[in-house]
Amino acid sequence: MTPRALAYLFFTLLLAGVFAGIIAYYFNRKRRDRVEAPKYRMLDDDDPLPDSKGGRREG
Amino acid sequence: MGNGARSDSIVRGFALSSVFWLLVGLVLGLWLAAEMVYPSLNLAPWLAYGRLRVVHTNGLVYGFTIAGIFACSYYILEKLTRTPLAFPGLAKAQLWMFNIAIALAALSLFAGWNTSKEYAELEWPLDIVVVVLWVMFAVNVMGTLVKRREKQMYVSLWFLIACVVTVAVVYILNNLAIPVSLSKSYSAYAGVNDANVQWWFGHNAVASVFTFPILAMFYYFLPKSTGLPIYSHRLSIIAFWSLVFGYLWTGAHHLMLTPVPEWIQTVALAFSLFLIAPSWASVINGFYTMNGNWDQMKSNYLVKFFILGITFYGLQTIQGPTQAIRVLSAHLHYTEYIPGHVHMGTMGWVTMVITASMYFMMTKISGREIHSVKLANVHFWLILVGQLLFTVTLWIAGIVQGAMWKATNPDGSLAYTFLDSVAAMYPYWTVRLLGGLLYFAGIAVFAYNLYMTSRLKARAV
Repeated sequence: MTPRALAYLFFTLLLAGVFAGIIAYYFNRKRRDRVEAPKYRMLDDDDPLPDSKGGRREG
Repeated sequence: MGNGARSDSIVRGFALSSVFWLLVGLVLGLWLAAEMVYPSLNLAPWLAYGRLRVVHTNGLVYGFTIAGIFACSYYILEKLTRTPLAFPGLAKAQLWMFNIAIALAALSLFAGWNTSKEYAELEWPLDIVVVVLWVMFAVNVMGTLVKRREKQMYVSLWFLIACVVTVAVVYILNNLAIPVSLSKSYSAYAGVNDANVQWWFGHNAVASVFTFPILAMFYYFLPKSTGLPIYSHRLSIIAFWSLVFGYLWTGAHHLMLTPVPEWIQTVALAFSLFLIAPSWASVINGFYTMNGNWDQMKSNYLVKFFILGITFYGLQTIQGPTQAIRVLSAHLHYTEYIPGHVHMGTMGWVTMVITASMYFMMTKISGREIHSVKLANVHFWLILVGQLLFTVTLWIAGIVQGAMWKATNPDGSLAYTFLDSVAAMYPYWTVRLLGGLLYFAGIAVFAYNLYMTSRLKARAV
């Protein structure tokens, strides 16, 4: 295998690994509530009070 | 949130611009459909099919769809970040510059300035204007996201970011050219490389204009108009990353059985089939969101637009990858089947979601109910029946056309001449014209209804 072919293989495996990592991250049971929270927050009032910080954490 | 009248006027301006270019693009489309049935309408050179067709496609992609994306993106962006637009003055300038650019683009294409690259026909001076407009949009999107008051980003914002980034990358790279005069340039690539880059752009234009931002609208406006949270935010995020991961490899499926290296075609085919999964993740997410609330299909005039829209998206994303399979591509490519496929996506999925989103936004901006729910329902049924008549007819026409081209006699000679296949298309082209007329009537009803709804605002102020 040439270095170029190895580089392609490495890049492909890297991308597949990153993709698998994203799935594992989002479907981890510990994060379920946090990951699902935006779908409820987007239904909140569109025009909250001017000083509202929304869901953004301080600092 | 300082979501004031200034941003509303920008959203309203882009929405009405979008509707204007939609009407213009559809009139040109009707003329083209009529030219197929009555060739004497082919009035060269300005109204010749070759020139008119590119004004139709560019007008609807860059005029209607992009203006709709700007309108909906600015609206969604402010709501989901709970932050006013970062640079409203820039957006206002963008609105005026956009409409001037689209008018100049149409004139240049009518005049025959054409790079000959599909969906990238604009010559280099207008390409520069398009890039400047996109940078103005990107600065506003990214600037507002940086200032956002919501820590976690809802999936629509992810799709919006993908739209901003991918359009910029594919448009600039494919349009790299060497100008030889104001109206003529030559591609920076040559031969097979040029074709490969062109369809890498072509298919990712589908992703970044007809998929990412339209999904952003779907994921935002379906829950907002029904009051129901999306079934699974996690699933939508996985669908997002899968689409981003897979889309960029699929362009060469437009070049099956051509001199492009076979391995590139196979990679494109494999990733095209892979894309069925994330596409259907969004379809399933939409359907499951309505679980237990399907009565809203009758009681809420907006829901049927979004649900039928996502259904056509689902059908489109099955049909597209299967067309890429070599044996089917050999039969269907270059036939009427392909415009049939494209028009299900544009007339079904894209237009249904954008027009429904505009109804939602305009009622919120005006603070009133829609001018007429009855007219919105008439709009829905006319575009549904018109689109089905148009697309199903072209699918059948394409299968017949492909079969005639390949039919052979026992001695191996061709059973039909090319002209036989052209003559056989006339009944189908006539039905397509009829479908187009119905569709246009539906859009005219929509334009009137939206305009009257937006006028309520003017009266209310």
